Amino acid sequence: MSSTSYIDVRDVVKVYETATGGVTALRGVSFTVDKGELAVVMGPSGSGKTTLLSIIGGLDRPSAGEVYVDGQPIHKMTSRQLDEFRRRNIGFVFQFLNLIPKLTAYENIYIPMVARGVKDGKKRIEYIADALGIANKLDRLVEELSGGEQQRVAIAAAVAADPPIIIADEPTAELDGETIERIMDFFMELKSGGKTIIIATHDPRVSRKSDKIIVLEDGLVRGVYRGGELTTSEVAVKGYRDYLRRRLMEIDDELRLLGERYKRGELSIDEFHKRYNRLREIKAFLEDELKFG
Amino acid sequence: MLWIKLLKVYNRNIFRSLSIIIVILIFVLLVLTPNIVSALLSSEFYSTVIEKIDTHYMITGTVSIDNVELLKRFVYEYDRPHRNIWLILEARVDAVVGSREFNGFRLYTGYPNHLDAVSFIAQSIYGRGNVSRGEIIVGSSVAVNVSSVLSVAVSGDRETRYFNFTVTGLYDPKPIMYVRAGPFGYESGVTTFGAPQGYIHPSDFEELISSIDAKFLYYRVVVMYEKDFFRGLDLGKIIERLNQSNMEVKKSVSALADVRDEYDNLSSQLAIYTFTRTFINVGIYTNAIPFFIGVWYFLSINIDLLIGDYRREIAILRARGIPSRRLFNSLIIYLILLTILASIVGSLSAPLWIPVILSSIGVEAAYDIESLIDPVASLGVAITTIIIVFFTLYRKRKIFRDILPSDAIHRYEYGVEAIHESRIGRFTIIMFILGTIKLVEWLLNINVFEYMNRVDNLYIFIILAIYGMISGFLNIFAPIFFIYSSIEILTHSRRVVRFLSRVSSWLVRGGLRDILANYVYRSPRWMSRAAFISSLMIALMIFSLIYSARTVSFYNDYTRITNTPDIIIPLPKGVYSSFDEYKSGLATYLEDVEGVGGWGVGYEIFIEYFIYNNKNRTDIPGRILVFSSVDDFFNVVYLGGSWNYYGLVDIRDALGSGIILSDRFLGYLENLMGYRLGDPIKLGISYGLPYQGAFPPVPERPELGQVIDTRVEGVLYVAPKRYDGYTTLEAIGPINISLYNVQPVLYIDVAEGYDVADVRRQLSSIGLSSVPSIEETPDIFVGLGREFQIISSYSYHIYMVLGIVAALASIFILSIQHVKSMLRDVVILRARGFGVRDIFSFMYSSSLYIVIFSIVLGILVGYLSGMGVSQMNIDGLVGGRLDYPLNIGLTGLLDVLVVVLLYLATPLPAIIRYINVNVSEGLRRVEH
Repeated sequence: MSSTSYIDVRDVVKVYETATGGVTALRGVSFTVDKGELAVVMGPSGSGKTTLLSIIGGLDRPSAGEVYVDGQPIHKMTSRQLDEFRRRNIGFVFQFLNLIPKLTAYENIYIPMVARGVKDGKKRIEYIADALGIANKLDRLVEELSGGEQQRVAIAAAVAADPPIIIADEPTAELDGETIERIMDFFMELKSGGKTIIIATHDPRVSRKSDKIIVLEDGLVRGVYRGGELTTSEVAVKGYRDYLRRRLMEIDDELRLLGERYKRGELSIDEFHKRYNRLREIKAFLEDELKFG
Repeated sequence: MLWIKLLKVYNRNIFRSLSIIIVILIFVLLVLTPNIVSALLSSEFYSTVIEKIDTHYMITGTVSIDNVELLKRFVYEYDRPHRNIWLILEARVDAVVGSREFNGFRLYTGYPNHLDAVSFIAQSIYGRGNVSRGEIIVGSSVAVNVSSVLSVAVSGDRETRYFNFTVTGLYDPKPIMYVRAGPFGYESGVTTFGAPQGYIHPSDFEELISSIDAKFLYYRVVVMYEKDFFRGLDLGKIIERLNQSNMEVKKSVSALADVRDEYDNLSSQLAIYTFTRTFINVGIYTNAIPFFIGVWYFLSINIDLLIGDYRREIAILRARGIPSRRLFNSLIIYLILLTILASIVGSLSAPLWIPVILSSIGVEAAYDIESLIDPVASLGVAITTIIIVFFTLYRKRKIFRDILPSDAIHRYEYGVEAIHESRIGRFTIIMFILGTIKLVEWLLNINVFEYMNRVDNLYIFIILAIYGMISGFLNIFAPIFFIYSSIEILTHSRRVVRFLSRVSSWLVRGGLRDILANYVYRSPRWMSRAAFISSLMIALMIFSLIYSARTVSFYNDYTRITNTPDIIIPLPKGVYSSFDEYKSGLATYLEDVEGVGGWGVGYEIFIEYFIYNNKNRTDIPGRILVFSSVDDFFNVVYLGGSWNYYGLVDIRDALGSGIILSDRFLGYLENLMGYRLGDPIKLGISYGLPYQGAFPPVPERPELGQVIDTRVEGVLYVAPKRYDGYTTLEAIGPINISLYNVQPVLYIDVAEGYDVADVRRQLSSIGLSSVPSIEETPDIFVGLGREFQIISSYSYHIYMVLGIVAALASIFILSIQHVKSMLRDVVILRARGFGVRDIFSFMYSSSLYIVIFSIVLGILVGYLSGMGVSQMNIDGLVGGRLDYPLNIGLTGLLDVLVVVLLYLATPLPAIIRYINVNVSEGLRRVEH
């Protein structure tokens, strides 16, 4: 049975087999995303966000359920078909960036274009790099770039081959507010160009600009909100506020853990400060969201 | 116990542990190989003569019987220089007698043993002009009061040769010619160099000899005329004719000089060596040095990778407060345990499979496996290996300190030190220069020692001498230096790496190919190390093939023309404090042996040598007499008293002249052996039957059990030395040892139609136990040079197999490591939409460049070193054929092809293992 939505996720279950038994990451997730939408998947750590994005992006197959992208049943595709599907349709921004350190920023961005058979991508790469503020970093090995710059290289790599769908897993993690704004502007520009974008994030600054928010928890969809519902629907607001509270508690735990690791000598002072400030920043924002949202 | 718990951590990576065991195993096998090869060959060879001669091997080339025939053949077919000497003689005869009715002339020799040679010369003169058959007088000396002496000398002083021709005295010539042709040796009762007898003292002659450049070719023709011969003749006219004939003589001698080079090629080599078994083992170990280095390097890399694997664990343990020293110690214990395990496996398995490798090249040896297992040697090997492993790890102890606790929380990536990030050290540049110089030397076949003999300038001589020493050192290390430094330098060049990776990336799609070149360029350093090891092994393989093929080829020819005796009886070995003592000791046995044959016997003193010709001529075995006079020779052979000398053949006369021995050679003998001119310098003593002519005839059908040819040979250790345009024989180092620590061996050829076993029984009845006869013994009597080189080539075959295994193992292990380290990148590429085929070509191509390095550099260096080193042997040791046998060449080519294919296939298992990795799963693995 085909689907009318651009991306249609139906009762998707994903079980990972481990030595000690199966671990269920998704327990029957269903939602749709229309073409040209910017959808955000939110949820606490371990809720199944990355797994869900992997399945939509054709990196993995569901254990059960169906996934249609532009009418194609990707849950039925062979490995080779999935390769082709990814090559043609998906631009991925990985949570851990997954850039190839031995290659320069330019080469990393160029790779998806090679995969898609784009002959001369130089102008496009320069355009994207300029939009993301890394135009002067293209000749550098990625391992020589800062975390934020690497993040932008990863985003550039995802969009370089001009895929219709962009999937980004925590694309703004570890970034400062100014860079996040810049990246979101870039995503909005892509969206206005007709790209469908799915972003997994904790960051309310990202979710606020989305057309749709999918809240995952323990492998289940706890709520799907349209961008405008958060200002009109009581239920939507309540669900959203519950999510924010849980996220705040998580951040408190992360802060405590961070302090312990620092005391054990596992973190340098610089690393500790960087992460601590980042978490404090998010916490403050979430608290603001709770107070005024 | 903390370290036991840590061992569990280290042992977690079975693949890494196994790879280390394999490396150590190869190392152990390499160390054990010489012992086992030596033991195996003992069972094959040493059970015969060699085993009974445990301190040195007396093996000489022998020609069993009929020296006269041999010498004639030699003279007829090959010895053009001597033919020129006869031309001189003919010219003189013509000059003297050509104007009158000449009814004949008489050649006269005072020594019966010269008869054969002199008659041979006379035959060459017969039939010319009016000369009729002369009379051969044997057995008595003629008083020659005044005679004419013709001396002809040709000196080759570097680029120029000049001719010196003198005629002195022509007094009361008699119509009897005394003809003697020979080398410079003077003989009692014969007029010597440049002056009539009685007017020159032997010391004058010596002085004259020593005043001539060592690089000389000297022939002397003595023509004496008895005055009765000239009675009534116009002496003035004769003298005029003599002068006219000078031109002809000059031409002849000039021709002689022209063919001298060719003659040198013919008569270049003699190889009779003495080696102890230890020496042979040391030689085999020397052969193994490059393999040892390659395997050690491989071990070093593996330990590096092991530490890399456990970097995270080490960091965590350090974060938990365990000091780096304890971690280092625990890893040492772990490696020692692996070493012991590998040593046990290696020690037990080596005797099983080394014979298998030998049998694969046709060396079948009966052996008892238990006898090959040497617990002491194995223990020594284990301890040695442990020490090497310890120091290998000790070199890397700094890493334990450098791994910080913070590393525990960071993902460790392979390839921290990329090729392009490391600096090209000064030492690498030096290695490259030295390696290149040696390769060029091999390529151009330059022999620095040859140049040393040419220079006049002392400083240049010293420089060349120093270079000669370095060059000798580089014979072993040049391949290593060149390959290592080349790879280091080449991989630092982006352009070269780009080129090579593009060459190796024909499978890869266009766009990805550009990326691949940079990817490879920025790859970890151990990739270039893998290239080093595999290049080295390929080089060694090709070297071994060329070296052994050329050696075996030479000795195959050598063996073919060598007639080994039917019966070999090692006589008790004696250690003699002086040469006199040796002679008297040997005489005792000779007397015993004489009783067996019941014949009058003679002794001949000679140097066994082989002439090898590379100009489409047959190999020529021959002998050269180097003692200085027949009288002295008699003194030597008069050992026991109950013999006669009728069997003696003075080869000098037969040949006219043999190899020219320089005064330097005599100097060696004097200095090293206390040699006095007049003493024999050759310990080879033939105990043989009389020859034809005036001697007791050889019965056509000897009695049953009659020994018709026996020899007792001592050993002489000389080596040829090639100078510009000619060759001399020169004593080599152990000559004094060989003189006084000699194993006499009796060689007996039994006449056709008689039973060898009967003869052996007879010998046995008088207490002379023979070793197995020729049917049971391989051709070992063709020179220890051969023996050594055969063993050497056997060991090379084993090393070659070990080396190839090591190279394949290294490529395999490092390919897996490489592919494993690529996993993250591969998953990313897959996630970006690249298909399996793209990924395969990407991975394979990035591994392939190692293979390309290996093959290109390996073949280049292997070929040059193989040709170079075997050429060196030819020049300096045993001589050999320069061409490469076609069948062996093709076999070698096939071997190389197989290895290349194996090399190409080796990365595949690792790639296939990872190529189908689930993208999502792979991402999770690399991200966490």
